[in-house]
Amino acid sequence: MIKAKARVQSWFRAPVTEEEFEHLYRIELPKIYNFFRYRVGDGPLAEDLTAVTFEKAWRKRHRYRHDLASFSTWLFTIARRVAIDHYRKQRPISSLESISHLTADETPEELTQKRSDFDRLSLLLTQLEDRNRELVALRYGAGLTNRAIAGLTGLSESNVGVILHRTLKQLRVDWEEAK
Amino acid sequence: MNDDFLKRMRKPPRREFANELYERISKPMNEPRYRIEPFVLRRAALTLGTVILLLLLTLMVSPAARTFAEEQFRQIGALIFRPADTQPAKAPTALPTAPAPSDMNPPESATLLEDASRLSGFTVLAPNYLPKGYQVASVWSIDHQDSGVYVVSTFRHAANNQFLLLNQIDYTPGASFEQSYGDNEQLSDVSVRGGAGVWITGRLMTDPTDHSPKLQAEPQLYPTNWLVWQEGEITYALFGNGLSQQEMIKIAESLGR
Repeated sequence: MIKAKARVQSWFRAPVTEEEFEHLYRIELPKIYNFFRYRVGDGPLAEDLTAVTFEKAWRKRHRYRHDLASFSTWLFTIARRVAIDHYRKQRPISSLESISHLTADETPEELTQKRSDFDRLSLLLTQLEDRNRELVALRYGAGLTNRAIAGLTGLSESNVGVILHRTLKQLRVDWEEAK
Repeated sequence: MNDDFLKRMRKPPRREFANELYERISKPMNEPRYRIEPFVLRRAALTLGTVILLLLLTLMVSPAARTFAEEQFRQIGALIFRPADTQPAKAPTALPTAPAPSDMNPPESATLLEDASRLSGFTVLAPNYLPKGYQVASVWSIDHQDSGVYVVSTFRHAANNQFLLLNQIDYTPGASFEQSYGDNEQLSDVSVRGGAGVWITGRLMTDPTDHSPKLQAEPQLYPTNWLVWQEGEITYALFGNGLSQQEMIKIAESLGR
């Protein structure tokens, strides 16, 4: 019993191994990828930022400990920073500018007609506040629970729920209008 | 509220992308686990450089820092270059302690020079000259310590509270006269009894001839002068708080059997 307990404690404190990393990579990759799709848009950029996230995670894997957070939480902490860094570096051509560029020649309505559903959604997402868009990306892109999002963002679980509810309501209206 | 329109837009990453990414991040898996990042090295070098620069500036500006550094280097040097068989250094003589042997082994005493020589195991000398006003304060004290045999004779000036001691020491191999000096002490070479000696001034100590309770309660420090020399195996230390170098050498020259 004592040996088993010690073994469990030892595992909890041990860094992630290569075998574990590969296994977790296969599980977490779609979540991280979709987080970035909802966060910054579809296409090569989402793939690039996903790659950056996993490269960082691999380089820092010795810092990860099982007893401090789940691998998913740790990975999303890195992903959020990667997204923030991206916006910081790309601020001059950020989403707002993209919108103005998009709206310079065509109205959102005209544009959305031509695009797929996800393009339409991406356009609507760019009009959200940065924090709200991140919550949407975590909830609907990555499929995290409100509790997990609260743990990542520092917001309360109920606060996350309220913000997402309001955002979803607005998106729903805009979505129907954009059809 | 129906959120299907949001959820159903998830899609898996391209298989090629997933495989390529894993292949790419797998390559560094064979690298050392704890690789020091270049920026960490740069930061460490910068910090070290700053510390060294500050240290040098402090040494340039502050005399106290220089003195402290000198003392540290001297002590480190003494630790490194001290022969392996020497005993630990005795307490610095700048401390308010008398250099008389400790009382752990009660000293023997002798009233005659012959008895002092017999008890000590070497030829003990006595001064044939004492400055005016000085007289013998106690009998010969012979003390056998681990560091050697100490023969102590004490003299006092009757009127002006001055003391004078003559230590004759036969050190055991490895032990020697205390070589640690305080900042307040000045050393110079002198010639005594046809050989080389050392003249030390400013060494602070209590009156070793005064055993009054008042001294124990409120120790009073006196600056003393020391004349130290060696003849054969015997080390001589003549010291007191009232005599000049000339008088000390005169007493030393008068020593005989």
